Amino acid sequence: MTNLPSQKEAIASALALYETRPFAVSDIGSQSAWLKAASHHARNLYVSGPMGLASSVALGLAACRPKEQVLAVCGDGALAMNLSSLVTIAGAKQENLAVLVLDNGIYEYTASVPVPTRDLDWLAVGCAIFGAGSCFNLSDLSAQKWKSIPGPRMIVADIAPSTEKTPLLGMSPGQIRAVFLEAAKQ
Amino acid sequence: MAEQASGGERLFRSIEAARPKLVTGVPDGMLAGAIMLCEASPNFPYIACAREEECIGVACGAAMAGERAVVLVQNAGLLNSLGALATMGLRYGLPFVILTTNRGVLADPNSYDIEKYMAFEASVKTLTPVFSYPFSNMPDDLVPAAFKWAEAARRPAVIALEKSL
Repeated sequence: MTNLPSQKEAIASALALYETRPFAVSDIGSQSAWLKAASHHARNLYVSGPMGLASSVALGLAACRPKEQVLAVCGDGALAMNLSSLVTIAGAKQENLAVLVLDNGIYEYTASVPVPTRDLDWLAVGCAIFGAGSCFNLSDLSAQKWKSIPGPRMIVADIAPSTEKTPLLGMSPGQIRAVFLEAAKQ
Repeated sequence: MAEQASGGERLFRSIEAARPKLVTGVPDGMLAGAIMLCEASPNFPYIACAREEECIGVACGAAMAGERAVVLVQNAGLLNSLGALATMGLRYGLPFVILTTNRGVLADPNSYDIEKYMAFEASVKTLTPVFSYPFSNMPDDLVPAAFKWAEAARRPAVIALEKSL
């Protein structure tokens, strides 16, 4: 038994930190599936394509919508594939962007094979790149505290390996694009 | 060098004429002048990425919001990004513009660029149309025209900028 939240619970908790619903951009595979299960919304952008691209897609969206909040929902294995995006986000000083890394130490969508970062201290990585004042464990955050943290921000969520089968997304790229385009219009 | 600076200024003016919401890229010698001008532009942010694949992601994020984005990368960088281009840019039908310097052509024979050119010809051009123009003498309306094509085709427009004899 573990006291760690599930991926679905951690995503819901991160979204609950915001006063108004942020845009949420999720990586392919289990992040998109569990984001949809936790909080399906027109402001969700479920990314297909190469693992790890969500943080970069979220950066582009955040740069185009600077008055809105954007949360990149990233798996630990996915973010490891695009680790350099964290450096880019920090360099861009994209204040309205936060990166949530969901750390279960496995590729949940790929037979739960262990990820190479299973022993990595994501909090230390985030603090090194974004600063100790902008990177926190999800369990140490409240909505009140979240408001005071300068961006770009990073949240590290240790999560339990799923005991449920990962749900299917059930949306085509065309459907995702059409719904999101409408929600993201200015 | 003067020819490159002139090409860079012309490229920047063409980018500005397209009124992009953002420009993103990774430097190449031929693109450096345009990138420096983009960095200084008050009209749009320039997002300097650590890797070219990130640029494709950044542009996809802008295009998903219905905004115009320009990507500036060398051909070798675009080769690094084909997975993102195919499974995000093409799969979602996203209209953005990729301006890539096609190094290793006949007028640009650095030994370390030849395989980049060969790989570019063999892979990118079989994936999506590529429109080639001379870097030092590109049309003024190149980038606006590329956006019109991308928006009509509902896919990224790839423009190869090349040195000419």
